[in-house]
Parts: sequence; C-alpha cells; structure tokens
Amino acid sequence: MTMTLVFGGLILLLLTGMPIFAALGLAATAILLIFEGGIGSVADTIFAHLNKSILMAIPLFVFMAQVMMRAKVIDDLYDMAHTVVGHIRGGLGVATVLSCTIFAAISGSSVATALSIGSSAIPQMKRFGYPERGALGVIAAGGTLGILIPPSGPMILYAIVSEVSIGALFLAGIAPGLLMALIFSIYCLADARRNRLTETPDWAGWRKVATAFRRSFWAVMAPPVVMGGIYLGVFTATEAAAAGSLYALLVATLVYRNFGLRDLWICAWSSMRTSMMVFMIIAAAAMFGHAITIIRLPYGVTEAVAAMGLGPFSFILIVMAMIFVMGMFFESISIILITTPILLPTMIALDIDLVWYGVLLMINLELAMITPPVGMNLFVIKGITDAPLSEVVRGAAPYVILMVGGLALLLAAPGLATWLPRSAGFG
Amino acid sequence: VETMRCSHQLPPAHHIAKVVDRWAAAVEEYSDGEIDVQVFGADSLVGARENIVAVAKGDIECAFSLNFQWGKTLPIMNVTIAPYAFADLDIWRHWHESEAAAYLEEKLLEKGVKNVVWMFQTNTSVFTSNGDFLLAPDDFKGVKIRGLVPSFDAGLAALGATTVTMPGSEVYQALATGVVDAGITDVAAAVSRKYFEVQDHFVVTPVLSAYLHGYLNPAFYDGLSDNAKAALEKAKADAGVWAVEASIEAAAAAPDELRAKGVEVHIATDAENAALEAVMRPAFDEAFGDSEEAAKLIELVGKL
Amino acid sequence: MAQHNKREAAAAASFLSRRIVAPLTWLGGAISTLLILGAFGLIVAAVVRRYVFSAPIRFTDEVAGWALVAAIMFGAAEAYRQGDHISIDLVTARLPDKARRAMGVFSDLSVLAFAIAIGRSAWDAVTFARGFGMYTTGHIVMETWILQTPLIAGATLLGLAAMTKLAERFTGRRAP
Ligand code: NA
Ligand code: NA
Repeated sequence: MTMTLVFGGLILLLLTGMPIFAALGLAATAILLIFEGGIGSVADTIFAHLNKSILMAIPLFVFMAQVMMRAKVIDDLYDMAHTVVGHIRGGLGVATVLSCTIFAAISGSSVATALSIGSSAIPQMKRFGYPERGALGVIAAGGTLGILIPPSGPMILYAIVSEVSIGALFLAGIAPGLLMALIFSIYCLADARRNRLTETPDWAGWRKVATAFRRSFWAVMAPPVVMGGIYLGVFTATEAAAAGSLYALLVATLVYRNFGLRDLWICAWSSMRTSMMVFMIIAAAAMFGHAITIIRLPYGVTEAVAAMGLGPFSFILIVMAMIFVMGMFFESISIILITTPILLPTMIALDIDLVWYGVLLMINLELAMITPPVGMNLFVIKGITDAPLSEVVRGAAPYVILMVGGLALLLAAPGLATWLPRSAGFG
Repeated sequence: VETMRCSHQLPPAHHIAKVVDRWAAAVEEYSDGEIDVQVFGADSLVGARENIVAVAKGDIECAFSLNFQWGKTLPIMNVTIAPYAFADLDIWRHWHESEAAAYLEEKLLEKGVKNVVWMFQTNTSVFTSNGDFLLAPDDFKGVKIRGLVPSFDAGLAALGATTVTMPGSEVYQALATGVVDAGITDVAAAVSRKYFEVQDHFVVTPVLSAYLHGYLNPAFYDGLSDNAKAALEKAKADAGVWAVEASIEAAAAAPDELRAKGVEVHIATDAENAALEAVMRPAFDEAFGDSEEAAKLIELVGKL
Repeated sequence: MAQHNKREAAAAASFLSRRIVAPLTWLGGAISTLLILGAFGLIVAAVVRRYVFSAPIRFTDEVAGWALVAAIMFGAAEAYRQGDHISIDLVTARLPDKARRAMGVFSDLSVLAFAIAIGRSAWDAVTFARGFGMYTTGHIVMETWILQTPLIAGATLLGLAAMTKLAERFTGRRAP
C-alpha cells in the first residue's frame, strides 16, 4: 500500500514536468514529513552523497570533452571515423559504441561515460546525418557499459558488501561487456540497413584514410594516454579525469593553437552547467533513497523474495525481475546496498556463484539507467541534447530489449562471466 | 515497542558486523521485545562520517562508529591507535566494565551521545607490500603507503614512508596498479578486502588497536523503560566478550588464510615490533598532542 | 488601470530578474566554475608532486570532495535559471496552453518548496554541528558546519531563481 502510494506519487510528480530533482526531492520530503515528522536529515544526506572526490571525475571528464570539441579535435576524430567507416551503413554508430567501450575501460561510472561521449559525439553524428533517435539511443545504452567494463565503482561496492574478489569481478565483466558492445554494434548495423537512413558514400581509399589518421593523431592518442596512466599505476580514476583534461588543454593550445583563456572559461562554464543538472538529480535521488530506506520499504520486498524457498535458477530469475523493477526508480548504489545484504545468505545457501551474480547485477543496473521514469543516462542524454525525453526513451528502448537479451544469455551461459576469472586462478 | 534504527559502516560479512547483529538480537530478546532493533549496515542508511551527528541530532536512534571517526571531535577516543600501546588483549577482555570505559562514556555523554556497547575490533594489523616485507624501519623509506589518520600517518612518515590519502573504494585499484606501493589494514580485512590479490608480502604486527562502539541518542535512551535499559546493559556485557572472541578468531585465522592464497606472511617478532615502535611512537605522540584527558585515560587503562 | 498595474508589476519583476537575481545566480555559477577549475589544478598539482617530487599533497582528496559540494550548491541555481534542469515532458508537451501554464506554476512552486526544504534542513544541520563541535577527521581538521554552509547559500539562490521565474510567469514575461 505504502509502496503504491510512494511510487505512484513520484510518477505523478515527475509527469507534471517539474525538474526531476524537484520531484525526487519533494517525494522524499513528503515521506520524511509523514513517517519521521521532520526533514532534519536531508542536508546531511545530500552533503554525505556529494562529498566524494571520485565524483569530481564527472565535471572533469565533461571539461575534457568540451575542450576537445571547442578546439575541433573531436571533428578530426569523427572525420577520421567517417572516412574509415562512413561507407558502411550504421558504421558511425559502431564507431560510437567503440568509443563508449574505450571510455568504459577508463571510467568507472556510466554517467561519466554517457556525458563525455554524448556531449562530443551527438553533434558529430548529426553532422554526418545519423538519425537523431538512433544517436540518442546508442549513447544512452553505450554509456551504461561504464560499470560493466572494469574499472567500475558499483562493482567495487558490490564486491565489498558481498566479499567476493574485486579482481575476479573485474575480469568477469570483460567478456559480457565486450559481448554487449558487439550486440549493440550489430544492432546499429542492422537498424541502419533496415531504415536505409544514412547516405553512404564510397570507400574513401587508403590515401584519404592515411591523411585522416594523421590529422586525428592527437585525438586518437587521448585514450591511450589516460588509459595507460591508469593501468600503469600513474593515476587513480579521478586523477585520470584531470590528466585527460590537461592533455586536451595541451593539445588545444600547443598543437591546434586555437584555444585561449576565453575558450578555457567557456569550456569550464559549460561543463559546470552540464554537470550541475546531473548532480542535482544525484543529490535528490540520494534523498529519495534515504527516505525509503529509513521506512524500510524495499526491505520488505527483498526479504519476501529471499524467503520464497525457490531453487537457484528460479530464485535468480525472480531476483532479476525484482531488481529490474526497482531499477525503474532507484539509482544503482541504493539497489546494491539495500538488496545485496538481504539476498546474500540465500545465495550462499543455494550455492549461487557470487561473481556470476555480480555480473548479472551489473547488467541489470545498466538497464536501470535507461529505463524510465528514473534513468540517469536518459536524463544525461536529454540534458545535453535538449531532445524531448520521450525521444530519448524511444531511442533507448531497443537497447533495453537487447540488454534483457544479454542478461538472458548470461543466465543461460554463466561461463561467459566466470570463465576468465577461473582461468586466471580465482576460485 | 520502541523502534531503534542502528546505522554502521561495516560490510555484512565482517566479523564485527556479525557481532552487531548478534547484539541486536540480544537487545530484542533481553528487553522482551520492547526494543525493535533495525540494523542498517554498510553505510546503507547514514554514511560513516555522518553517524555521530545523525544520532546526536536525533535523525536516527542509534549508530556504531570506529574510534577513528571521532578525530578532533573527541580526541581521546583515538588514544588506542598509538603505535603498539594497546597490544595486550586482557585490556579488551575487561574493557566494558573498566574505569577507563566509564570515563570515556562520561565524555561521550558530555558530547551528546549515550554509549551502550564497546566492540573490540582488532589489535592485529598488517603492513602489505609487493616484492619485499615492510619489516624494519629502513624498509619503509620512500614507500608510498595509503595512510589512515593524521596522527598515525605521522608515525609512518617518521619511518620515511610517504603517506597517500584516497577513498577506501579506490585502494584496491591503486594497489593493483601501483599508484600506492603499500597498505596498512586490519589482518582480517586484508583477507576480506582481497588485498592478497594485489599484494604479495604481509607483515602481521600489533601496531594499532581499533574498536567499534555503539551509542544512542540521549533523549531516546532516557525515554526507555528500566527494563529496556537493563537489557541494553546486559547486551553490552555480552557483546563486549563476543567481540573479543570474534576478533581473536578472525585475527588467528587470517595469516593462514593469507598463506593459503600463496602470499608471503611474516609474523613480526617482539624485537621487530620494538624497533618500529621506537620510531613511530614519538612522532605519533607529538602529532597527537598531550592532553590531561589522554593522560588520565592512559592511567586508567594502566589499571586494567 | 488594471492593464497599467500589470505592466508595472511586469517591469518590477523584470528588473528584479535582470538586475538582482540574474547577476547573483551568475556569480554563483562563476564561483562553481572556479571551484571546478581549482580542483582540476589541485589534482594535477598532486600528481606532479607525487611523481616529480615524491612529496604528495595529502589533502587533495578531502578538498576535492568539499569543492564539489560547494560547486554543486553554487552552480545549481544558474543551471536552473538557464533552463538546464532536466524534466519529463511526456505529458506537458501535449497539454493545452492554459494547463501547461498551470503546470509551470506548480513546477516553480515545487522548486521553491524543494529549496526551502534544503535550506531549512541545512540551517538546522549547520547550527547543530556548530553547537556540537563536530570536526572533520582527515588531514585538514575543520569544523564540519563550515563545509555545510554552501548548502544554505545554494538553497537561497535556487529559491530566488524559482521566485523570479514565478513572478515572470504571472506578469507575462518569460525568463531569459
Ligand atoms: Na568502467
Ligand atoms: Na531506471
């Protein structure tokens, strides 16, 4: 009953067209006033959730993208992509999925991935005549790979709560992550072919490809610099965002030589504006999460599922369905912290591989980011493009189905996740 | 029925998180169901840094904090992290009924929280590293190590190590890639947090003592019946003992579990510990600062 | 006469918006931008110090977290005033003008209520932490209430921005 009221109320507030942060915040305030008689905890909750240096990576990655865009470094990169794959229908979509995959190997966050790739790629995809809805969808979905392909913030959180190996979980995410990227790519190709939407020029020839490569050298070098820094142990994830921004600034001022102090301010200003709207939703989602946690709303459901006395496979199936529904409303951190401790004893009793479950959970959390009404990546894409949210939701819808398919595949073949960590010697 | 929501920061499988659950069940049982204890672990309700204020303010009724969380807010809570000062387990076995504990509880109440349980968590830490043991003071020279709290880091700096601060969630990745060379952690946590996957040399040493303690909002406590207060008192005595047992068990099992993972483990000898203490202790004392309160507490601990 | 009053009110609202609230929220945005750039500089400096001089800056992590909270609070109102904040337009886009206007008023009122809730709660949190004497535990030891004051400033800015939007709706002048 309470559950229907809370979620029904939230949906109604969201549909009035008020900013999403206000809807989440008001729903939280109402719950706290009714059940707790006061909103004293709101400020502390917001402060606690935003006071994290790791989150500084979000505005910094956006800043990096802004600098590369303003200095036209990105243009060269997309010219190159267009020269190489432009003659293939949907090739640009595949190139974007590839960018998301590479960025996912740098960043541990899906929001950072969607924000950075989206803000630079969407205008470019439009420039080359890629259909808008397709562009919105592929980046909303491609961005979610950020938490499935290591490093991954949510994986670390799940690993700490469930005490599984972080290393094993990271390894386990690689194959499913690449598989999802492959599925997305195939879909891009099939969809473009089916709709005959893109004009396809002829193959540009090796000489043009070589020229395009030379021109895009500095843009192409950005991921290896940042990734190399992370994997060789030079920077942490947040430092990588700063290092990437520094690299972009150096390329813009020293190589492209079209970047002054005024450009610096404009880029910083727009990354401020872009990240603020995301952070306000993060803050309000934290309030909402706190409010429903303190009244133990999700606990009842999770405990009921844990107590159903099911076999391993049907148990996982019900849990996945439950998390899918939760994912429509909550952000990933709350879902991990609320469900994992309650489900853990049952999973251990049923002898369910916790690494496998962790990867299933991650894919489900990826889904949560692109399912309405509350989906962070949907909001991010809507925020950077000004497209109607309904358009973003429609663009992402096919990917919801593809990801559910990926989830089913991994349910049927756990080896996809567990093979790599096992062969690397993890239990 | 009084609902008592308790927040803490430990993951559910941590040996002390299990003691918290056991304590919660005991409180419910001893109070004949008068108190309904709802435990929210792993920072799921209130963050580790916000627990103290949340309880003092009355947002929630109860929380558990590690002594580190008190910092300058109530510095004497951190006396136990003085390098090698609290290695004797008998101190902890009798802690809950000691004058020292009573003294701290008085200070906590003055500050604004009513302490209801002490849970000794560890006096066994590990220095983790790759390639070589961190054993003698010289081994620490130039090593980048993830620090703990400023006063303890002063001791590490005196050894010649460079301390690096980063959020707990980034430590694993930082050790894996080499952003930091070494770590210091509770020996059981070295197992549960999988440090053995990314480090291969572990020195087990009683360098610092840490405890978790549970406290209530004073107004909430005052509103409880005598029966409920007596139940809390009884649960406090029991849980104090359970925590020592659980910690001894976890610390005893951990070195072998680490060895089973194929890493090198060395249990530091008394002489090795003394050598580290000689360098770390003066630096710690200077950074910690003397206070009458700390002196009084140490004197009371001496009586144990 | 009524026409005249309405025009006057519109002029007043427009003056309030252009001359007072807009510069204030812009200033908030500028502070936010500078905080992000500052954190960027600090993180770069920390990496350089760690590798080139083997002398890491110990407080980077803490300061970056605090700077982020302050940046978000100072910047939120400017983003809101510029219409950056994301909302769900599935229903409102299909409504007739009058209903859409009513929804707009409701939306502004909600943002105002949200700002009041945060501001009120932040005020309580700050005064409580101050009386309690709560300190941070890292390498910079500071009373926590100082770090929470940006929440009050941010809520005030957001509330002001919501009020001017509301005033503009009633006087018929849209926010820029
Ligand atoms: Na990632
Ligand atoms: Na969702």
